[in-house]
Amino acid sequence: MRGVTGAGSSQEMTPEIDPKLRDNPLFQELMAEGLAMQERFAAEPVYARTGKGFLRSEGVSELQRLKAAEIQRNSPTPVG
Amino acid sequence: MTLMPRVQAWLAPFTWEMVTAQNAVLCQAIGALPKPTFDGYERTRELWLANHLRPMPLEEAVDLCRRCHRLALFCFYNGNTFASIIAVVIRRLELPPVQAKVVRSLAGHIVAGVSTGEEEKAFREFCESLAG
Repeated sequence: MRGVTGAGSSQEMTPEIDPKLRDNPLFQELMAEGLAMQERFAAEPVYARTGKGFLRSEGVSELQRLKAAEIQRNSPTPVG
Repeated sequence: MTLMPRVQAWLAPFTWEMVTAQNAVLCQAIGALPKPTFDGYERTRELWLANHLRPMPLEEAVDLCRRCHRLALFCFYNGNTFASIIAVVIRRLELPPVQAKVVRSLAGHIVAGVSTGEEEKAFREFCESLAG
């Protein structure tokens, strides 16, 4: 890792990411996860300040979709 | 019972380099400059490096991510830096879709610091259902 350092101070971290790391499939999966949930989190460190975190509700639509798909998968195929 | 062992080095693949790079990506996505905090960065780095390679129960891995989130090592986006790590860990369990969604949500709430007692109990019970 070349950049993204700056331990122990409020200095800026070098926003460079090692190209090898960028090509790492696990890191790519991690980036996709983090970016997909980005809007649900507050940028500021709310949890550290207040002892209570912050997370916007995801809603239930995705869970309902998965449940419906599961019910459909498990239901017997109609005969005739 | 799920055959996946409960105690594993769940967080071992996530190097410190990966943690800091993940935060940089998340900050850059909104045009913020990734910055460490004065008091949280070093403490979190030490905590992560002392523990992430170690085999531990899944619930302990989730709690380690929660503690790191709470230490606020970065100026921005501590929460999804660690919630995304645990989301990837849960995906590796290869659970049926509905259960995966529920377990991921429970773990995510714990890491985010918004879980209720009931959610923590439900997650503990899920962990107890893992082998070993």
